[in-house]
Amino acid sequence: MSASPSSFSSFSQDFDLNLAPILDCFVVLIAFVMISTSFAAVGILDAGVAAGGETELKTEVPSVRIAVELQKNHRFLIKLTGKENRQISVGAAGNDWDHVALKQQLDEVKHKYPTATGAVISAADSVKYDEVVSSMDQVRKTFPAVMLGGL
Amino acid sequence: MKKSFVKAKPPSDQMMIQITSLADIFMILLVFLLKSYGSGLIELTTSKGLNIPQAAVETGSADALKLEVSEQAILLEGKPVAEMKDFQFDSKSLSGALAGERKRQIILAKSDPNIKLDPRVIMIADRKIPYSTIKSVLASAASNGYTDFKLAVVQTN
Repeated sequence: MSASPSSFSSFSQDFDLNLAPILDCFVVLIAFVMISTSFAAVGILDAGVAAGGETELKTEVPSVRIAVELQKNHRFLIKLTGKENRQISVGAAGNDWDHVALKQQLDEVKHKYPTATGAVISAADSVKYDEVVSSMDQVRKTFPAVMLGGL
Repeated sequence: MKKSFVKAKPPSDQMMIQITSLADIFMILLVFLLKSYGSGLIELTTSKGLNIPQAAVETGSADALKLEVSEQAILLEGKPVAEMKDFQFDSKSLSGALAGERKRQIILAKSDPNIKLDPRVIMIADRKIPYSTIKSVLASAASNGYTDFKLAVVQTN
């Protein structure tokens, strides 16, 4: 049995969709997501692979090995061994580490030995972890593969 | 001017608020939040009061053994394994916990050939910890087969 078109004329095609429950859901969802979202992004700084891993590393021995040592009194000591044996001392900038001077010195080393890509960073016992990480971050700008040393 | 004799309708008690635009805003906000929620960031739960250092690194995602070093204790996968006093800790307790974790990994690797031993360890350390303590913790990890060190930092870029 088919309904005649005139029987639908009482239903209006304009209707108001009730958005209130959807909005309620949105408010709850947004609140939940905002609470559980961490806006401080955590990154990973690769501190390199020490010797003694499961697999053998097939890496070429660099012509010059670079080691950066964080000494007491905010002084850096860059040690070059291998093709060249030299030590470069970088003084403190007041009562802080002179990262600008460190970068300049490392850039000079990089200019001289462009194939060198890695450096080992070590620190005196009293040096704080934060200072080691900030220095690592600085060294990484010139030598991307930075390993923690002195273990 | 002609005056209308038709009485104006009294204002209705039921007022309809137009909430379609509000729903649109909420939808955009929700999409934005959900996008930033699952953007491949590492899920790290740190202890209260732990300040990790900052560094300019790219977003990294790594699932590895988490080793937390705070001023009060050392935690392995969120469980305290050694107490810290004046940045000194019992290395035997830490070494024992790491050896236990390694043993568990070895058993898993033996039972399933697809599982490989993971040498990675993510260190979440407080910025005030001296390097001597960090060295001791990393040396304990390295002696138990965890030789690939990754440091958790707050991204600055």
